[in-house]
Amino acid sequence: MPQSGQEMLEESIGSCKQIADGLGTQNAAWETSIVEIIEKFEEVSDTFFFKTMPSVPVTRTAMREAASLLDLKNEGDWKGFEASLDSMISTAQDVIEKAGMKGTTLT
Amino acid sequence: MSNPVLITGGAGSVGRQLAGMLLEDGKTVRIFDLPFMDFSGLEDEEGVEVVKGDITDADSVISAVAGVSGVLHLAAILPPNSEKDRDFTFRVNVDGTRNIVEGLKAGAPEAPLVFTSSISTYGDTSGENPPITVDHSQGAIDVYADSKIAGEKILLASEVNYIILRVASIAVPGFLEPPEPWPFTAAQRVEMIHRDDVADALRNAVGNEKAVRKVFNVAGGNSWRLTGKDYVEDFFNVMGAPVDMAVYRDSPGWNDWYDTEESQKILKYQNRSYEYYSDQMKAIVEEMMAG
Repeated sequence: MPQSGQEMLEESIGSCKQIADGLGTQNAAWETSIVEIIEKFEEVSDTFFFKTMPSVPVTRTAMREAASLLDLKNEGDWKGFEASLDSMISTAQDVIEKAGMKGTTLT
Repeated sequence: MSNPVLITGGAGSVGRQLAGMLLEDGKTVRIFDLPFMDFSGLEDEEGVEVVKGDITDADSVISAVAGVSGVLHLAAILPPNSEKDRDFTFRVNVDGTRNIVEGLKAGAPEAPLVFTSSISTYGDTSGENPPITVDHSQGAIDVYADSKIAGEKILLASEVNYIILRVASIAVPGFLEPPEPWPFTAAQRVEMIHRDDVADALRNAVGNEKAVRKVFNVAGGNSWRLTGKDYVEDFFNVMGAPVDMAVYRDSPGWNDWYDTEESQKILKYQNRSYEYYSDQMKAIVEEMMAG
């Protein structure tokens, strides 16, 4: 059974936590960015959006980018890490924006 | 230049939609809404006049109503906010309506007042035989319906040219949170209406002499006659979300199937079937999946 948006978001959060661990010794600003992503993802993780199909593409991207970022950290490729972090931040913003659906289907 | 049609609560999405429609019809529009609302795109629009004020303030309502050719009275506290503070809901939904009526008497006694009421005013009709007609007794099961019944009474006792539209649950085509709980049980009859059909009903009520001093049910029509379960399962299936997470009311709410024969004959608003709405929802989800 394919992963749901919620499962992929949780996996992204897990990867981000591993990325954040000790990252501050390399670059404090990077660590702050990752911690913010974790906080925002945890804040929105229970919303209806992540239980729907439209959440799958964007959370899949977030999950893959977080995994890739974690690999770069583990390899110590900090040049590649910096470039990929920008992409991760942009994807995270997209996830958060899409999760912030307002209103209801009925009035 | 014709006298403007006043839209109370006009800075909201429905008000803006209606303003655009009325401008297309060659009418001019006066938007009345709270000063802190976003009026961008309205203030510089030709044919649109903006009046900032509060529906609960009789003086500001009198100046907003003066000289209008008609009123579309949308301003109201809606569920779920209406259920949080009964006094406040009544101040806006009932006293506000009274202020409009008084304003019309003083400044535009012939102008028709289109009042957006609700089918929720019928209360729980689940044990009866549908369709529910406009002469059915009213019995509120929430604050909102109670306030709408009180608003209707003000109009019925007045000499204004009222047009009362008892609008069904409005289905908005968009990727939005489902209500929790849904305002009906799984087995209950529901007949909703597409948001744009509501706009058409309001548009076609303005200046419609056949509608004056009448009460109408405004609902989607035959294709929208479903059970709560049918509607909710379709919704979750389109969204690709697990159906078992849907939460229904424990006891019947105020949804049912409605007699809309006369309203459709006079207001000609049932232009979007349930299938049309479903296709729109599918397209929205597909677009999100692609993007």
